[in-house]
Amino acid sequence: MNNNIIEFSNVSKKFSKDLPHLLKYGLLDISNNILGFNAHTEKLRGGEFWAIKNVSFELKKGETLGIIGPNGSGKTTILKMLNGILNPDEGEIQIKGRVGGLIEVGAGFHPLLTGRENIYINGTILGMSKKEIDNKFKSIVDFADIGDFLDAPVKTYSSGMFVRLGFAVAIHCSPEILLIDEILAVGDLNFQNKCLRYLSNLKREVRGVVFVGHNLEQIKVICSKVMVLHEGRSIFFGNTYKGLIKYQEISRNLRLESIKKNEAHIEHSLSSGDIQYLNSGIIDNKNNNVNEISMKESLNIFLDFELLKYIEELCFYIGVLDENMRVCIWSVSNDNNKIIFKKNEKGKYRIIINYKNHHLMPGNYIPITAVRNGITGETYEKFWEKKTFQINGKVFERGVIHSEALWKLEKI
Amino acid sequence: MIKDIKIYKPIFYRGNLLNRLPIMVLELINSKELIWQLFLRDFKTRYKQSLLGFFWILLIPLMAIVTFLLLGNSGILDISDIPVPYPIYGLLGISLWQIFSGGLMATTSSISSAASFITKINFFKGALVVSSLGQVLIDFIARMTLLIIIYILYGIIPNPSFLLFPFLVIPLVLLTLGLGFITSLLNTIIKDIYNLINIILGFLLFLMPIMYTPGENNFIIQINKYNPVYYLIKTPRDIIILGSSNTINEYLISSLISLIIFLLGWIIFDRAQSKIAEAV
Repeated sequence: MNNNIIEFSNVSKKFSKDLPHLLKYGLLDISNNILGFNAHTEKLRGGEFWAIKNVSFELKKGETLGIIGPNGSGKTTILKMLNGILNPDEGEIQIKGRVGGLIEVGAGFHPLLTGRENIYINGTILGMSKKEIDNKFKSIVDFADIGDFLDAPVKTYSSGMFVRLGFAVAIHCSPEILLIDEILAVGDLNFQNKCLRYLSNLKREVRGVVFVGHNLEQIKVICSKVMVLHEGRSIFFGNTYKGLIKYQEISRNLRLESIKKNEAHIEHSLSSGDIQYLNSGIIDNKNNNVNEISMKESLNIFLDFELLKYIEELCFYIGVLDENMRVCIWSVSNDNNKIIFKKNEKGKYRIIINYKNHHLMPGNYIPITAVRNGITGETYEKFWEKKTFQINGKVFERGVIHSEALWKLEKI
Repeated sequence: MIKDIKIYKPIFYRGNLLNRLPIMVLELINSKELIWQLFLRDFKTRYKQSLLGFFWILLIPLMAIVTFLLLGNSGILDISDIPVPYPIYGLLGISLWQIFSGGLMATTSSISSAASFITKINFFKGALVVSSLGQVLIDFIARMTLLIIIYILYGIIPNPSFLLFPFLVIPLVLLTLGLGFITSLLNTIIKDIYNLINIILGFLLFLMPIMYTPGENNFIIQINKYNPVYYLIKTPRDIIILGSSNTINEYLISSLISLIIFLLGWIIFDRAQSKIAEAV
């Protein structure tokens, strides 16, 4: 016998896109279920989409799986299927052990009832017996830390208290397989730490944990494996660190798509009419236009322009902005009198700036350029054509600059 | 070593019903604490923010009795030829009727009103339907207490058959539950069902000689000839008031129909259960 506690085999789940379809198919599916007809759930009908498609994974005893992915990629749907709330439309799920979920804790609390009453009701809905709740009552109350509010109606609670109480009840169900859905995003730092502490103890007691979250730092620490979901499909399953990098890659691409959608073609902030802007962008070492480079490659930004009159001395400003419009690089050609471009006749030119080691983290960046008179300081052209380019790399994306580091801890 | 192995896959039943029934019974028995807690949840919150509180339980039948007394005294409906004072007759009738009508309303909305946690927690949803009937039975007990007070006020000693009352209403409860299983499902998908049932029930009360006597009215007698609800209300009332009834056979047939509807509703609910969370 294998020691898999979860076997998720080729599972698919579809949803209706709108309410009329939900109503129609809801009736149809329920009727089919009742009459015992095969509803052919594996086929997509009009107005439906796959929330999860052909997802397979296995979780072994003692493992903690993190599920990450952009919004709407199907993370919560998988948790709900593991919890038995939703039934798969295709494939099979096998689970060995009592499943307990920290999915939207506090669901089912009645606002008019007191905390004490809600502990019993919620606990029972979650599958505990009255005796079990009696025994754990003190521990639940201690964990929730709601003080005198225990006998006050839940609607008088702050949102933090509400979540604490919900969390406290949910973790006392002594699950063997624990499902966690982003709950650690709530509460203050103290409570978050308390939860993390509790979780790390719980991890030793339970058979396995499935964790859905957006906090990559937590995923990195808590999970022994990750699955990366994208548009309902599993695109990565395995090593946590590699998975996180994969996830950052997808998010980067998604952000790039949305940036491209909103890109205004050209934004002239200033133009004197002495210079005509032609083109700008990124080129590789063979002078081909590119829109993505790897971290290790050198970065070449070019600007094509046409001088409409003779200019004695030109000075170039070239820089790189990140997605949040932070200036990452900002180079000026005549800083420290380094380079002076003199006696420029009328005609077409290309200026290229080469950064051999740009040190930029993987991400989306925008080149910016400006041309000025080196003597008078007049601005001829300030171009900001948003030609977003991407830097790729297999490192965890943090901060702006990638620097090799040496760590040393010593007692002082 | 591992006792709890669950398998989820696309469901379509071809299975043997006889294999499934014991599982359904077990599921229901195992849910008794859940049913109780869900009942408490309803019970404790029902009149929490209300001025009249539990008095509402008695207000509804009292208003109905007054209404029908007025209708009867003005000659619109026939309330003559009753062996006991009208309040006793009326209260018995409306209390039994409320088991059915109140019960059907409560069960119909039971699933959709729990939508907020059905989509988040996996539990036996039938418990919601069953527990929603608890409220109706509490109302019934309260009304029966009022009935005894009325008996005392009139100085009448109830017929000993009064003690049979709890058993006589079982078929009515089963019928309500069976229909409730189906209507609660329908109401999760189509929210009109609740209002529709509300309207139909209001209409039905007038079509059945519950609050009045059938008298010579052939139309009323004809349409209720094959109405099991009517017999399930009339016969117990006859037995309470007179100690006997002339519709025992009809009552037994109606009870059988109730049992069948109950089982059918339960099976339908069981088969649809896995789809509820996505339909609400």
